[in-house]
Amino acid sequence: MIALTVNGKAYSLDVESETPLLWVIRDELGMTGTKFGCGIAQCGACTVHVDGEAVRSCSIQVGDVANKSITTIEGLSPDAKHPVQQAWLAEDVPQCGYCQSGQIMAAVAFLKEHPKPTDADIDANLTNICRCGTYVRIRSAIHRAAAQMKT
Amino acid sequence: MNQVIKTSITRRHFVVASASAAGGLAISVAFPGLADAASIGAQAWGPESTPNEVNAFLAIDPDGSILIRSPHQEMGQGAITALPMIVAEELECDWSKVKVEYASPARNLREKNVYGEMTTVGSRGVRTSWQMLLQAGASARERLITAGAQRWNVSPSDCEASNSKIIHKATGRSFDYGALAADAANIKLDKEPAIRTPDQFKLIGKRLARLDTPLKINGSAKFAIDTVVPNMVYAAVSA
Repeated sequence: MIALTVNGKAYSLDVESETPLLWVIRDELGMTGTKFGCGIAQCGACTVHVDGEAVRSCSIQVGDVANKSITTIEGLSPDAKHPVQQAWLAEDVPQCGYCQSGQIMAAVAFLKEHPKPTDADIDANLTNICRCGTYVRIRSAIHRAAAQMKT
Repeated sequence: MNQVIKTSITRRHFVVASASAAGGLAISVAFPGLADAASIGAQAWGPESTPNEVNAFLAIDPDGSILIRSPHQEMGQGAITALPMIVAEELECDWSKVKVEYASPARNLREKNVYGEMTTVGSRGVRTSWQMLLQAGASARERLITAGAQRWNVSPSDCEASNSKIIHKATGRSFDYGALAADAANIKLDKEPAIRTPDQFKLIGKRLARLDTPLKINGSAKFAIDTVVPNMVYAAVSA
């Protein structure tokens, strides 16, 4: 049995320890906001937080995060009031939306490390892929959220 | 929570749905600035027909909530917002009371293309369907006007539609759409109304918040990979 806290709730899961965290989240826990994109940690659609750090859950075994605290997109806020989510709304960032959970989770973690990011910081640190090309609005939303979180 | 997607046709397209157990109208209300937004219902498409239909494109409940059906799919291009807007343009309704869902392909087959050409391709959604959607909204509006006029025993030309109300111009008395929808559904117009020309547009051309955005920033929008049906099994190609 693997003990895990997800979005503040404690679970004891009967899963094999090599199972990628992504599938535990999606299939065991039924939280489908976190997406499968590539399975090889290249696209970031599966991004969640483990003890506050952004990780690509397709490439982490659930056994390696036993007893840790996981946050998924569903757990970022109860009502989408997180400043990054609000910025995403204000800028109308998503198009198809498939990558956006991962984009938001990556952005939240990034802003913790870079609360006043420059465009160069964004370029260097945010590597989530978006096939629709929402990058311009992601950038605007990150700047908007950073300004909002400063006050 | 798992949703059973009741459909006889498998779709590979993006499916927009809310995970809200309460019925899906609540999504837009939680966001400041979106208090006047319409919303997407609990499941991307509902039963093929519903009570309170005024026509195949829209149903109005007694409480005034309006369900508008989009004949094309949302894939991030804005269809599920734009196409209902076209219906609402003619309908003269309160946009905040609007809930949208997809039209049923099965119903389209059975009712001889009542929704027209339903493929979503080539940037052709608005271009293909705009006249049909304006006509659906205009027809519903005129039947609501006629229903109100009949109640007051006046001529429809003495009445007008505005913001989900039918108003008797001379006296200012009014009915909400919800009160008239059942009657309107049974009215046959002698002549279908002409649709508006672009210079007359009031809603089309306004930048409204997209209805799918709230579902895409909190993980609740459902995609094909998120589909769950009873007794579902999974397959993978072995190397």
